Amino acid sequence: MSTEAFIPQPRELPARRLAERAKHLRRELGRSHPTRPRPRSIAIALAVLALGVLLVTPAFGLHDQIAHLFGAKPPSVIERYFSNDPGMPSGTEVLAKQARLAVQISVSGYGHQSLWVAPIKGGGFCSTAPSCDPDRSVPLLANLRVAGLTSRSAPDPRDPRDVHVFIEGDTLVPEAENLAAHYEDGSVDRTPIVWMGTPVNAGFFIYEVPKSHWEPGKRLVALTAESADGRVLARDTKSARYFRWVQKGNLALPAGVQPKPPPPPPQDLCADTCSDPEGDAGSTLDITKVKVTESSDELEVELTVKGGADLQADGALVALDLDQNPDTGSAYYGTEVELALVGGDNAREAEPVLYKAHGWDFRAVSLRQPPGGLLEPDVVGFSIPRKLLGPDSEPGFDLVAASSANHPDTAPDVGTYEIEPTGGTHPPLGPDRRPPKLFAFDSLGTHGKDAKLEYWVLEGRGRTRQVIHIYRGQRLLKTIWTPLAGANPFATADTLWSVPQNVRGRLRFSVRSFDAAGNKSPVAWASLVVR
Amino acid sequence: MQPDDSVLWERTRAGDADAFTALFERHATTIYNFCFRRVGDWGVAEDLLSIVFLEAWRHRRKQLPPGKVLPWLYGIATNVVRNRRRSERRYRAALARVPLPRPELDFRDEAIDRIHDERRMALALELLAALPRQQQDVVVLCEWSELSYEDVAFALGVPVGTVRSRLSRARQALAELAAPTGHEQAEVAKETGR
Repeated sequence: MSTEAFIPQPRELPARRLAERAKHLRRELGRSHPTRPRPRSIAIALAVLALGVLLVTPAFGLHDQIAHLFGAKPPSVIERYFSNDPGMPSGTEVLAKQARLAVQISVSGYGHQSLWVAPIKGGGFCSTAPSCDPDRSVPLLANLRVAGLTSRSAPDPRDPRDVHVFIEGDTLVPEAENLAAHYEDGSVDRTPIVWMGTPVNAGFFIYEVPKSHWEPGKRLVALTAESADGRVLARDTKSARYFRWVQKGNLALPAGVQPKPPPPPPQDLCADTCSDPEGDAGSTLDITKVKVTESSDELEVELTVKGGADLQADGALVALDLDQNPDTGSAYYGTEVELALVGGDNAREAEPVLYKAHGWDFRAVSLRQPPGGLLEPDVVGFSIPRKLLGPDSEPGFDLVAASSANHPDTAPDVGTYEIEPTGGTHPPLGPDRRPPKLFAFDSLGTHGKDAKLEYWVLEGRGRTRQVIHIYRGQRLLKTIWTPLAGANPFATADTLWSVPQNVRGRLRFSVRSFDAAGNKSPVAWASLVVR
Repeated sequence: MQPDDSVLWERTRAGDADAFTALFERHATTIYNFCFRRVGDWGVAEDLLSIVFLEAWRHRRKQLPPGKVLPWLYGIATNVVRNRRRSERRYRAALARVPLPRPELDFRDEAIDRIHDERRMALALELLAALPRQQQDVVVLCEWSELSYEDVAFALGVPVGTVRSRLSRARQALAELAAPTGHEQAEVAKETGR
């Protein structure tokens, strides 16, 4: 007797249902992410992260057996792991008996962390990272693992002394020699990649993220696979994102690196006179001293200028942060008021113009009685009635003076002077929630030489870092991370890129700026023409 | 004239959803019937049909030899049916967005036929269930879907010789299962006068 006797004749799906299913499929295709890489691996990574978070919580009663599953050495454990569907599509076979130890590192106070690899029949491999790559399609795969002591006798599983964060993974780029971890503070840490031969033919790594890099402002930004001569061959940012995600959940920061309030803007405290170094001006107007005189009805600011003030070339300005809060007011260090004296042919007769903060910038205010100006051979002065500055309960304020030129001299060089005529103290700052303001400018370069990528970043607290991507069409050519450093809103900034010999034509670059508190600007784009 | 499967698949690999939809329209009936023959329920088969093609789209970067698109779809369908619960869970959200079936005119007779189909299919599947899973796959693909040994080997990712041996064992096992035993055998002999 054959089973075929029972089989009904094929039937068409009713035409309307077929059309509906086709329409539904079309809609679902649109929903799926076009470049989503290895969703199974991501799901596994997330599951392992969740497991890691659970493992550091004793209430769940998961103890040593599970904790040692990935780190233990007995081959039978590893063999069982690879035999038990480590994320492979059904129908493919992991050669569990051929599993080999690829990397093992020794971690003080923790033990060993190991990475095992088993080939897949027909090509590709699986690892305890955990991941499987049957198609050998991902050049750099890195997974984040939160691990630590989990026995019930552990003093406090959330105690970060017992928790370790590892990056484990593989690369298929044959020239890769090192894995580089890039951090928010601009530092880079490298660890060697260990290569396995046929049939795996891939490089593997384990890297422990130091606890000193768990702190905001110093955390992981990206991982890159690098050649021996430091060329970036592949890049991964998922692990850094997962780390922040885990930190939002259950991962405590190590003792001694609890989040600190972001540092206040760099300031010099002056009772009434502040000084600025000579010869630091990129323009003709070199400010060396700022003197403030306050009376009950007027505020006077005098700028001493070395070598004489030639307002036909450059203008001069002072900006005041009356509420001493760099997170409110304009994006120029949070100043609310600006007085500017712009030169011309009849500069000696020029009058200062009063500007008030309007959004991130300033807007001129027309006054029946304009503020007073003073122009002497070595002095530029401003005087303004106090009533124009609005009600002021505190006598202190922050001040910055600048020449208005392409390459201005500012006093101080970065940040503001704190003026406390009555010896008061700076009011405490709240959390910084304002992102930097950013513009990118079209730039020019020459192949084989350094190209200057120009942008302008304005941040109230005066400290930013930038992430710059350079593209030719859709292809990413280079990523540059600048360290957290002073950002002067009165001047444009630039970052140099050594253009390879073989790169010419019209490129584009994007810039994104991050302040010390982690607020990020929108991405700004500009072109880069390389001759 | 419609381009052949390989051309459509190459376009699909480049992310062309229209080409993939054309493949769906071309092979929907085949895969729908295959799924029905594995689960014995037309409604479930319809959902599995969608899952098979969503799964195929997920693996759209795969390079396929010429003429192997349909065998590959059979392979996916085999895995989808085998891991039916997991597949349905994965695509639960997508399936929830399928429009509900509207009443069909002149559908009553066909509805009765479909119920009849499901009863017959249940008997066949009951018989098939006595075989090991790997042999079931070979029987359904070789005998019920009439794929060549080579295509079945491709669909299941095993050598052709393995397909032949599994099919041979499956046929032998089915023959033994279907053979009359005990009193049945005696009655058959009495009726035929032997």
